[in-house]
Amino acid sequence: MYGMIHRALRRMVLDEVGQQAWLAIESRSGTSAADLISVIVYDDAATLDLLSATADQLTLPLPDLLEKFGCFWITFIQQRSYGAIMDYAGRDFASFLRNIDRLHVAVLATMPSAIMPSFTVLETTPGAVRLRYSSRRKGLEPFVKGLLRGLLNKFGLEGTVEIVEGGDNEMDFLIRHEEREPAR
Amino acid sequence: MTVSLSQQQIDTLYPAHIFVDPKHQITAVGPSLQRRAPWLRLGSSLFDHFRSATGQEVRDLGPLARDSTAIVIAAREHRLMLAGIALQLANGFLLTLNYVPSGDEIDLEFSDFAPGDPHLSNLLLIRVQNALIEESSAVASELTIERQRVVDVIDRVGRMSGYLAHDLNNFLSVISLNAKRLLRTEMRDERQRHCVDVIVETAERCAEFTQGMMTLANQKSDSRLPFPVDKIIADASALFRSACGTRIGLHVSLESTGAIVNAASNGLVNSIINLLINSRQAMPTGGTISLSTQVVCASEIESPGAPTSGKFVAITIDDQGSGMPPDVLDRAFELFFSTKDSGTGVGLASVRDFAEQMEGCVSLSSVEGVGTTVSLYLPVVEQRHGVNHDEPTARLEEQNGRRKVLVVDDEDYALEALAEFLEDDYCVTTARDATEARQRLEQDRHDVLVTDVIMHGVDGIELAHWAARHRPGLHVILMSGFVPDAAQLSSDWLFIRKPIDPDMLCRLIESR
Repeated sequence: MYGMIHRALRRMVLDEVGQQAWLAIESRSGTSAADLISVIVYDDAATLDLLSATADQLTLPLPDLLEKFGCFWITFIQQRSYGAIMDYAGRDFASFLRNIDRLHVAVLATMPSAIMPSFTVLETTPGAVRLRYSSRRKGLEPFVKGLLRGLLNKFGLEGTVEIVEGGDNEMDFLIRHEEREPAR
Repeated sequence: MTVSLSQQQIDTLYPAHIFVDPKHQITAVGPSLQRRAPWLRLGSSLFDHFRSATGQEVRDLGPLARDSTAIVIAAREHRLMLAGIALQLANGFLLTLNYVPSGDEIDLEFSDFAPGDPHLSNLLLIRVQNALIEESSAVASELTIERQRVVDVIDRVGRMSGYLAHDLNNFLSVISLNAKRLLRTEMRDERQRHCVDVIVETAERCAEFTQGMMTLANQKSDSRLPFPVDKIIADASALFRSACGTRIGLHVSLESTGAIVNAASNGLVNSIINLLINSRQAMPTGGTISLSTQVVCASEIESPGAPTSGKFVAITIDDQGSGMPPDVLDRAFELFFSTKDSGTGVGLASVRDFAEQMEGCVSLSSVEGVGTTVSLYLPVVEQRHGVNHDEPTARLEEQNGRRKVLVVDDEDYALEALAEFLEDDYCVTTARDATEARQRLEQDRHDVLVTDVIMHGVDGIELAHWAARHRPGLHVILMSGFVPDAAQLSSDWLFIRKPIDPDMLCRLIESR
């Protein structure tokens, strides 16, 4: 998987529990600084080892860790060099979701060996979006759930994300949302 | 062919479209222009807001629509350029426009572009690549920091190894010396003698282990001892012949008889092997290499930065190889520089480093197609006449003298054992630190000072410098588990590594 994922995971751990915890994760998963190069595509097994070691270190079940990390991923890339591209992809929740695939096409042009998932907006109604997620990878739906929660947050929305229909490589998510109430 | 499009389809296909009536007054604009160009007023003239960007003034869209001529229009008062064609409609014209990116389109987003608009893919690709470059730069800087962290850790581990090895060597020295003291006593019980042998042997094996730790700590483990160069070369000549290989003959001519240098003998042998291997590689078809020694004066040495005074043993390796062109010769001592595919570029550089550590130098001359000559110069500390190579031992046996030796060590057990060993042959006094040693030196004349290097308070090197100033002629032998920096030492001092081999120590004392 894309090395930037590893870097984001490290950032999350460093922010939340500090360097010693990250060093323990590196040691447990056999990861080193060389596995954190953003523009290299690593074997998925290396990423899964890293995620499992992180879940163990944070004493979280793997699905919970994936969801938490999905949410963090949006914040991470928004704050870094990809922030401008995120803005480019859409200034509201639904149009952003519609444009994710086009964003991935551009990433693929730069890193042809990356495996990108696909997102299709099936239906939008006021306060709800039904989204189809397709991927060759299995078991990452908690991560997608976290991504969608992160995106709601990015666009100043709050709401719920649930899987309404699912298969092995394709899954429909229903996102209900409303404007976040301004803080008092 | 007639095509019908809904307003929503037009909005999707051309988010920046403009509808105008037959008089060119704007009647509707696409969703993107509604966001990006709120200054476009419905009912106003298209030409009030835009001018042709092609240089040709346009006042009527009719002919352009008939010929399907591309139009490029630029906003008169804003940074906005659009391109497309005008389609004639029953009630006016539809301008199917796309943005012409100019570098200022930072606010644009995907939905401002028509699907398939190549500008979108290009802009996106550029942005993704810019982001990746930014990421790469951040990663490079993190990797640099990480590398430094690793180097620091290795450095700390190395230093820690050095400290541990030093302390271990001190303890091993005590164990080894005292075990050897026992062996000197009359031991009737064979089992007891065997036990002591085991202790001595194990201490020696442990000393090898500490040498490994010293290597990890980048410490040199090769002691600097006085020795005749010719003897070392003669003893290692079989090794040197192997280094030359079967197709190359080695002619050895040793003419520095009696010249004693104070150096690390292993380092000298390694340096000669390095030079022989270089010569061998320069002679792929075979030939003869000449290895010779002679004593020369500093003024005879032709090497930049060569010493200006004193005598030196010149160890010269002369080959009949391919030689080096001047540009290669200029860089020959450069670390990692090599013209050979499999070369490491370390050989000559390490020879030069060795020579400099031994307070000598190296000279190199080469003629392309003729051969190369390298000379390694080591300072002569003593010239013995009519000497035989086993002279130190012979002198020890002959003299059996009562020279006065002051032994200084802050480790009581080591001091006690050393004193006992030396008492058979010398008049020994002891001191437990530098202050006590100074008092002894002030009270009485001594011939040799044997001092530990690392001690509480004033260390052995400082004590030796003091002694050199206040007791000229006093010979200094330093002993330590830690090899001191050569720059701190005087060239006529000797050094012996702990654990101490008492026989070697006696030989050093005799050599002074």
